[in-house]
Amino acid sequence: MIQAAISKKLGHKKNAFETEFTIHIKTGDFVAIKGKSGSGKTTLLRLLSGLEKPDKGLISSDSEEWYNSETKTFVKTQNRNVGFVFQDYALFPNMTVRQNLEYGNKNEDQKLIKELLEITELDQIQNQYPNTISGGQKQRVALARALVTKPKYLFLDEPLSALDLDLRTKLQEYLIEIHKKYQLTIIMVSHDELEILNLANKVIELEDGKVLQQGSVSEVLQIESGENQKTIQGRILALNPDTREVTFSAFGNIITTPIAKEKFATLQVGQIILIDLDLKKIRVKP
Amino acid sequence: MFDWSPIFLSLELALCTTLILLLIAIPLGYWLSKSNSLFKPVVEAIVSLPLILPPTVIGFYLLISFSPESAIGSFFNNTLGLQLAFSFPGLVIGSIIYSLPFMVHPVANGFSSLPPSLAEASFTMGKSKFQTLRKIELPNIKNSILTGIVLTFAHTIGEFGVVLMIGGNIPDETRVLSIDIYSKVESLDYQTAHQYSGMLLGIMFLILLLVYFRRQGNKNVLL
Repeated sequence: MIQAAISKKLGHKKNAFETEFTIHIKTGDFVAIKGKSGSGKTTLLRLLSGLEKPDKGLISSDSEEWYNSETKTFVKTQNRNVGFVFQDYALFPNMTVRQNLEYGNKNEDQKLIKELLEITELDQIQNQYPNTISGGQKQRVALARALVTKPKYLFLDEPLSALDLDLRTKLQEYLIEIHKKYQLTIIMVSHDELEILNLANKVIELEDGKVLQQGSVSEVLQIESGENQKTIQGRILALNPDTREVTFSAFGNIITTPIAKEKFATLQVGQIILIDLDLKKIRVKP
Repeated sequence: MFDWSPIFLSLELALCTTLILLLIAIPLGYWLSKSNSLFKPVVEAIVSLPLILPPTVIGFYLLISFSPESAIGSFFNNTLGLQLAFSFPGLVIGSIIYSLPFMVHPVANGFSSLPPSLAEASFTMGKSKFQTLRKIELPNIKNSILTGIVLTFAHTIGEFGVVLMIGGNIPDETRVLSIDIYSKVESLDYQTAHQYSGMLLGIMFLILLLVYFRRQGNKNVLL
């Protein structure tokens, strides 16, 4: 559990603005931080992970105090037991994929490294250097590397923004698997509502360096729900003209559902749609 | 008459200067690349000064400060028993100051060119600043370090003005190759001057050739 009530001044004299965050993250949550660019998403992530120091306030993780401006307590990133996936991957160019993972592995836990390489399907390229692998592979290395220290919290700074849709979907699946398998608390910056829908159970929305709202995905993204009916937003992954079925991903699953003939003709792969789902009828795979 | 001692003396001076400057440039370059201190521009200006000052001016001030009457000169003389003016240790100190920007600039630029997220990623993996410097930052700026080493080495071998001012022309002590070439020309011994000059040209060309071969295909190096 992370609790924080912090403030930090950003920018220089003329363009300076004050950020102020009061947040509460429960253990095991998958939290998405959303907001326009410049709203302070990355700053919040960096403050929570200890890469930046707030000016004032309090941050605590369970019973441990990470930051307290009154007592001048500041626990460095190194001692916070966090994993961080950077937007630019930040893979060490002088090390192979495997060495990138081994670097953070204190006890040379080969079993964990092997397991992570397998989950992220990197075992084939483990001896290659980062400059010889693709963007999607780099992202998976960054993810696996962040997990090698067995962190309690995993911070992701727009991890999927630079990837195309197919890779995104695949990486979302990895994230879901990792979240479940390692029972992590994940805090992810994202401006993509579909991504948030697919992955998160909680959303913190920021605006101008302040928390606008925080709550469950349906509360923040205003998803209507009835007993057997849900309206959700999704991006179309595939269309099957034979069965008139549309496949899209939402809530961490890939959903396939039939659509009326006249509606089906207007749809395109990649399009964002609002779908009224009858929860009794949808087929979910896997 | 051809004599090997100026050549060895030049190589020895260049080697000493390069090694000591490397030890100075890594912490200094690291600090320059990360610091937001108000003193940073002052330090940057001091480091860059040898680039624009005539060697005679540097040599002149060094000669004055090396004299046993000055604070620096008397410190070295009384505490370490070193006579700096017209001696090899004095040449090393003079060369370190004169070649400072040639080592510090490439190393500092190397550090600045690394994305901050590299070090931060290492911190989130529990590694200290020193471990990060040793395992991540230094290996990834090795081309910049190599550039600094080559520039410093070559610059020291080619040094003339400062050496002449603070070292004079004492055989086996301060008569380095560039000084000896000058005295050979003065005494109209063109044959030896040719041999020395040809050798110097060859060594320098080989060093640069090695560097350029090495950096072929590696575009993030500035020389």
